[in-house]
This record gives sequence, structure tokens and C-alpha cells, in this order.
Amino acid sequence: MLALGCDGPRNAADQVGKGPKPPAPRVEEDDRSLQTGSGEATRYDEATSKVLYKVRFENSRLQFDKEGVFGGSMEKVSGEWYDAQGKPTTFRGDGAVADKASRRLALRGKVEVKSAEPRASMTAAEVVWDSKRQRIEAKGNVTFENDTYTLGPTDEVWATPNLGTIASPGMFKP
Amino acid sequence: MKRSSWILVAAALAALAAAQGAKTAFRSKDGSASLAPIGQFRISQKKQQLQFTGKGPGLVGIFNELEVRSGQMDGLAERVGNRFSLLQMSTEGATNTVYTQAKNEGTLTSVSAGILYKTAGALDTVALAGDVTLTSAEPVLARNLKMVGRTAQLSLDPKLPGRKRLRRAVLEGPVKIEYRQGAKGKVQASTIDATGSRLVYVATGDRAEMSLSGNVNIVGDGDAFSGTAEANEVVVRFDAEGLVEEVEMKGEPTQTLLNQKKKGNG
Repeated sequence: MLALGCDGPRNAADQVGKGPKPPAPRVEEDDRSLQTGSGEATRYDEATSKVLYKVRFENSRLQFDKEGVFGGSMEKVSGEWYDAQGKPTTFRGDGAVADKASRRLALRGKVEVKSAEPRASMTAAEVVWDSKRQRIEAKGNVTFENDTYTLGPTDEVWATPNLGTIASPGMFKP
Repeated sequence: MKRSSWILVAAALAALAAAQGAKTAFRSKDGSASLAPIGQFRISQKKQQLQFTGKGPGLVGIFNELEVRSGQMDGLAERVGNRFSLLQMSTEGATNTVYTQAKNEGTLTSVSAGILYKTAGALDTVALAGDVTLTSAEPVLARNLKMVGRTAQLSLDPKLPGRKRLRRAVLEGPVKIEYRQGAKGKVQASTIDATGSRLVYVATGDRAEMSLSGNVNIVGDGDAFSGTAEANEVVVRFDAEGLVEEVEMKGEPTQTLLNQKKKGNG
């Protein structure tokens, strides 16, 4: 198991050393590119040190910069992202790509997003968690369900982090 | 039609059905409400309240018996236990509304340029904007009552079916009514056409009274009223069966050619 904490007060090296006997990551092109087995990565907000999202994966190919900010692709992912108040929304999918610069986490393949409060779930072919804009962007055969109603299937839905508001992109406002 | 043409038509219909089936739909879990096909939408739920906007050509909103067709609908609903309860809904643009469509008691419908529907207490209220046509149709009784005006305010009792659902209507003018009763059993055919500036319809129990005011012109042909008249105010009274039982002129009639008949005298 590989545990990585990135872009926060602790860097990647710190987290790897504290993991429960992780397999040694294989260094590829340079010392900041890793191909790993299962693990977990956490992305922090640079300014506030708040957790933006956590991803657990079975395989990954990640890159890190000097500050430990990570990006790259992961397979068989699950995890949670956090809204501005720190409330989590869980997700799972066949794969994900984390973008270092934009803080976006793009999930693909049988993506499922679940919120506990309000209780709701959404499925789609692709989902992007845009942590800067605090927005979920779901594409491809999107369906939504909560305690009160169902919606879909539809091509594209944007949503607030906890799925409390969903909308067509042209009508979205948090 | 040739067989190949039938096949083409069937294929086109199947493709259309598939395309319609693929359109986005909103459905309440209790089955009482739906909105489809939605082009653009926004739905926000906070605690038990749900605010929604739907846009798109051919959009149909169904809330229990209420069926609304309009290009845009905005609404507010509440979740009470497991029930979805509509609190308010408004439309923009041409709107066709079916308030009730009981099989034997008939339908109550309107055509307008927009509606604002509110549920509050025992009665629902509806504000209709633009050129309004309100129609009570009772095909089983061969009867049709049409009220036309510039705007209308309605009070509806959602527990009552058909014509009885309409408890009060105020239409601002110019207004027009068309009453058509076909011959049915012992009931004779009759018609009433009237125009005026304002119309107030009030139901009391199963009976109702309709008052037209302001330069009223009325033409009738039936048991209760036959002839023509001009008056400041005309009151049309309906019995419990919805038949016109009396037409009363009020104020100073300016011109009357009246042949008032007793009911049943022919």
C-alpha cells in the first residue's frame, strides 16, 4: 500500500516513509515520476492546507513536483472530495486523472458519486471534480437520484459538491 | 399505401419514440410528479424544499391531476414524508393546462400566455396571463362552457372533479362566454353567447352563478333563455346538474329582444 500526501504541509516523501511497509515505488523517467500498485493520494489546497480530495487506487502512474503536488492517472479508484465546509462526497470509477495545475480530478468509467447530506447519488460515464470552482461536471448518460426524485438519463449535468443542486451547464449556479 | 411506405413510416415512428424516450425526465419518487422532456434544467434541494426550472420544446409537467404544457416551468415543491407536494409553479410563454380530467365529470382546461399556480390551504389559486380561454367540457353530458378574457384568476378545489373543481373565476375583459348544451335524453339543446367587460363565476355547492358586467351583449337559444339583450349586467345561473336554469338582466337594459321561457316548457 502506498500512501501519498500531496500539496500540503507534508510532502510525498514524508507520507511514503510513514506508510505501512509500502512496496518500493519504481522510479521511471526521473525521481518525481512513480508507477505504483495500490495506494492512496491526498490533494491539499496550497493556501489553506484543507483537503481537496483523497483517492484510493489499485494502480497509478503519478508525477510529483518539488512541493509534492501530484498529478497523473490511476486505475480502479474510489475516494472522497470535500466541499468548502469540509463535508465529504464519495466517488468511485474505473479510472481517474489528477491534474496538478488545475486541481481537477477527472473520473472515468462507470463513475458513481454519492452524497450523505443531502442523500443523493449520480452515475455517469465521466465526472470531473473541479475543486477550484467547487463544481462537479458529469458527462455521458448521466442519471441522478435522491430521496425525492430521479432525473435522467441526460448528456451533461453540473452539480454542487454535495449534489444539492444539479443543472444543465447553461443554467448552473451554485 | 405500399408496404414499403408502411415500413418507412413504422421505422420513422420507432425512431421518434426512441428519440423521445432518450429525452431527459424528472420524476418524483412517489410517482405524483414528472417533467419531460427537459432540454435545460436546474434543480436545487435544501432540506425538504425543492426548487426546479425546466425548459424545452414540448415540455409537459404533471403534478397529480394537473397537467401543464409550456416551454418553461419554474416550481417550488415540498417533501412531506414520502410525498412530493407542489407548492407553486409558473410558466412562461404559451401554456396549455389541464386541471382535471375525470372520466364522467369532464375536463377543466385553460389556454393562456402563462400561469402562476399556487397551492395554499383548501383551495388552489391560479393566475392566468395573456389571452385566456377557460373551458369546462363534459362530453358525457354533451356540454361545453368556454370563458374567454384577457386575464383570469381562478380558485380550484383539488378534491372535486370536473366542472365542480372550479369554485371561482374572475376574468377581466373584454370577456366572452360560449355555452353549448347538446340534446341529451330529456335535456334540450341550448346555446348562450355573451360578451362584456368582466366576468365573475362563483360556485356554491354544486350550483354556480356567472355574472357578466359592462356593456353586456347576450344571445341565447334554449329553455332558460331565448333571444338577445344588451344590459349593464347579466347573471347566468346554473343548477346542480350544470344546466342553465335562469338568465337575469340587471341594471338598465338598453335594448332587449327577449323570449324568456320556463324550464321544461320548450
